[in-house]
Parts: sequence; C-alpha cells; structure tokens
Amino acid sequence: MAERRPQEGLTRDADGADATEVGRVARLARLAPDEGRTARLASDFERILSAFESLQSIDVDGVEPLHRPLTGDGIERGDVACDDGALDRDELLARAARTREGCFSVPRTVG
Amino acid sequence: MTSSDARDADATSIAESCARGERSVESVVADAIARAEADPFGAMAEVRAELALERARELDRRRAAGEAPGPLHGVPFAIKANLCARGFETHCGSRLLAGWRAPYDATSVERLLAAGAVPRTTHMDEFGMGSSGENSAYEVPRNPRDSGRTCGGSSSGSASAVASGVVPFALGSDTGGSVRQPAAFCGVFGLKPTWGRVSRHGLVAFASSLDTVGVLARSARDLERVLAAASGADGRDATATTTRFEPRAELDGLDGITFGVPTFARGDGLRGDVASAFDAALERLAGLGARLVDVEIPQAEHAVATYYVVATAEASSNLARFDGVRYGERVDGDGTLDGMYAATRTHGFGDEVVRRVLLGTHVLSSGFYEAWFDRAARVRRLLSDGFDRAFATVDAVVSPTAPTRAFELGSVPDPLELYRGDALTIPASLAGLPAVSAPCDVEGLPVGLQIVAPRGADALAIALARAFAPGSVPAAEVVR
Repeated sequence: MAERRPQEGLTRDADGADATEVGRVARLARLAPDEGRTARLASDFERILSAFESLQSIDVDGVEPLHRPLTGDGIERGDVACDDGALDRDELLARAARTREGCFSVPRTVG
Repeated sequence: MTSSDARDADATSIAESCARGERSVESVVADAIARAEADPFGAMAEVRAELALERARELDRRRAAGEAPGPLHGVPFAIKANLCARGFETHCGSRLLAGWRAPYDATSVERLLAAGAVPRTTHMDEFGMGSSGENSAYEVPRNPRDSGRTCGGSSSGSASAVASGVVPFALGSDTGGSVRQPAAFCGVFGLKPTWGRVSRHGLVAFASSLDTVGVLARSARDLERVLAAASGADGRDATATTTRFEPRAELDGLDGITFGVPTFARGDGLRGDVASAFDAALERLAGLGARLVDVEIPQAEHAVATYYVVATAEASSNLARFDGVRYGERVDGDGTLDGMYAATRTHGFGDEVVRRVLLGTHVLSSGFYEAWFDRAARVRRLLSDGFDRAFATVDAVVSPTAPTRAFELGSVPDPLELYRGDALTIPASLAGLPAVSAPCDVEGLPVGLQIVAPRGADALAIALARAFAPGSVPAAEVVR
C-alpha cells in the first residue's frame, strides 16, 4: 500500500468545503447559486468528497489512467467538412434563443 | 392477436404477427396510442399520435406492395428524451431544454425506424443524472408494479412504459446503471451494451467515456433483436465499433457455463430480501447446470467514488454547451455575456445537475486534478484489469442489479445515499462491459439479476439472461 498522499482533497488548506470554495467552482462552471443554495451545496460537497477520500489510499504508482474503454476499431474520418447529412443552417438557428443576420446573437462583449 | 394480447406481447411476436399480415400495423399502433394516452404511470413525454398513425399506414402500404418487412416491423417503441428523434421534444428532463425539438435522428433511432419501429418519447432524470426519476423538471414516472414507488432512473419513463405494457421495448441510456437499475425496479429486462457497441451520435452527452445507448424490454430475445438493429459502425461516432453484433443461438441449459460471484455482490447496503432473492437466483443458475465460483474484482469497493469523480468531471465539460446561445432557453441576467451564461444555467439546471457540474469542475480544477480526476482514472484501470483477469476463469460475473428493491417516492432525498445505490452497476460501466439485468420474478416488488460478460460479448450476456429467464414477462396490471 502506498503512503497516503498529502491531503489535497477538497481545499488547498484542507479546511473542508466551504462557501468560498463552492463560489470559486461555481464561477468556473458559469453558475451563480444564491446564498441558500450555495450553503446547501457546500454541505453536500463536504460529505460527498469525504466519502470519496478512500481513493487517496489506493496505490496507483505506475498505473496508466483509463480514459476510454475502447476497442479501437471505430471509423475515423478525415478532418474535412462533410456534407453527408449536414443540417440546414436556418433549421439550427431556428432552435436558438436569439439570432441576428444568420448568426447566433449574444450580449455585446467589446466596445 | 387481440388488443389485450398486444399489451403483453413482446416486440418479436408483434413484428412477426404484422409481417405475416395477421394484424395491420395501423391497428397495433392505434392500440399503443390508446395505451400511451391513458399513460397511468406518467411515463410518456410525447406521443404524436397522428405522426405515428401516418407512419403505420405507410408501413402497411409498403408491405402490401411487396416490400420485405424489417425486423421490428410495426413495433411501437419509446425513446428516452435524451436521444434525438426528429421533431420530438428532446428536453432531457431539463427546464433548460424545454421546447427544444431535435432537428435530426440519433443513429440508434434512425436504425430502429429503418427496421420498421414506430416512436414516441419518455420522461427521465435530468440529463441522465438520477436513480429515481425524481430529478426532473417534468412529470415523475411511477412504478407500474407499485405506483407509490419510484421506477428507478435515469431511464425512468422508458422502464415504466415497458413494464406497464404501453410499449414492448424502449431505448434508454446507461452511464452508471440507468437502464439496468430501472429495469430491475420495474421487473423487465435491461441491456447496457459494450461501450461503443451502439453509436452515441444523437445521444445528449452526460459522461462520454461511460455513456451507452441501452434497451429495456419484456423478453431477452427482444434485447437481442433490438441490439442487432441498432448497433454497428457509424461514421458519425468514431468510438462505435466496426465489429458486427452476431446473435447467439438459444442456450439449452447452462452446462459448461461458469459464473463468478464477486465479493461486491454482497457488499455493504445489500438488503436482506434482495440477498435472499439473489441466493435463489444462484440456485436457479446451478439448477440449470452452471458452475458458480467466487471471484475478486480488486477496487470494486471504490467503484462509486471512482465513477462519481470521472462522470461528474466529464459532465462538467459536456454540459458547458448549455449556455443560452445555441440551445434552449436564455435568461439575460445582468446583460453581460458572463452574466447571461450564469443566469441561464443557474435557472435552467436542477439541483442534482448543479451539484454534479460543481463537483466535476472541482475535481478538474487546478490543484485538485491529480488528487481526484487523474487518480480516479488510474483506479478505473485497476478495476477494468481486474475484470479481464476474472474473465480468464469465468464466462460471466453475476450480482444483484441493485442493493434494494424500488423505494418509495420521495423517501431517499440524500444524494450520497442514492450514489451508493449504484454500487452494483457502476463496476461494469467503468470497465465498458456489456451487462443485462434480468427479472428474478415479478411477483410483488421485483429484483433483478445482473449478468456481466466480457467486452464485446453482448450476445453471451443476453443468451445467459434468456436461459435464466426465458419467455416474456407480463405487463403490470393497471389498477384503476
């Protein structure tokens, strides 16, 4: 069994989950939970990550990560535009919240 | 075949009956529409009766003109609302996608339509995140075997619709057990294929390295028929295998088959009544001639932690696309771009989705990646290798599908407790293995037997399930 890694689990100073950490992660995730929701989420965070802390005790030295349980025999396409089955531009735009002159429209970001 | 026969009939018998001309597709579909519109357990999202009848008449015309019927000729089926079906609302159980209609068919849907099937859609846990059907902005389906209980999740509506006889089979998606667990709770068969067996093109992604398109049905032979039609290489999904799915002949008993019983099959949280049903299932397998041996799958006790790190990390990335620009509803917020993103997502996502996106963002963020995501991916390798070693000595691994029977609606509000309920289905998901949940019985509250086979051996998993539970399970009685 490998030596237990330094506590890196939840916060860098291992203080456990708090509203500050949830706020930091929420900004990264483009979410803005209100104060009450943030407090509930912080409590869940702490319990869930504490329960998962056992992962830190497993010896994974020299073990390759597994990111895809692939058989490796799929069909790969060239990196070229393909018209086969391509969707109509107007049909796609019709499903967006706001469009303008054939494009998705978003709030102004410059000037 | 009468209308009430059709409610209990499996897809194979309906397709054969329509192909022989004993029933018109129109009459089969009209009956199915009546059942879907009655929808006593709240499973159906959208029926689109006129479209279904038009399609049914077209199938009848084509057969009359001499065209060979497809393997699912005239069979009504249901599609989980996270699989694109052209013109249907693909809301994924989320408020954020309310009213969003798919502009194309998922590959799996397209292939089933080509095989002659007739679609409608079902409710689900939001973006596939849940084990009870209750994490939804829409109706929560109820269990046809006991309407006060959950049907499981996240393919809740698909399981409910199959168990109640609204449709003979349905598509679901299974990331960590979302086809198998509701199948077990509702007393039907559920198949999670080998990862890559069925194209994921058109499946709204939750955790891409775990997501599979699965099948729920009332007979094992239907699982095979549907998988044969839906599977295969797809130029639109490079991870879809080119190895053809070859159905197996029906097994005559289980002589020569060795089942491994892993330690995790009897892990913490297994209820006594489920353990008893599992013991009875093992006796039945032995009675059919199978040999049973104990096997150890290292790290399986860490599977839940591993899964919820990997899956939430992938979800946090996949769900970044739902930002109010290309899909669904927009909330303006403070009028800035960042403010619009945050307001849209915070309003549109339910609590469980927010919880998982935050967790996934945390385990991927700078300073935590190595300790959580990278480490979990390495534990995943150990677990997958452990299955490979076990399959050197056994044909399949068996366990209960879930540690409990269907629980009462609203009775498990704690997310961590729900996560732990996935402990028996998650190991096969992490390893990308095919697995079938077969009903042990459907008297009272059902229990499922999970059969996990080596990678690519989907046909073996189905054949073993069929040997264990031959024939078709009846639809639940509707008590009015």
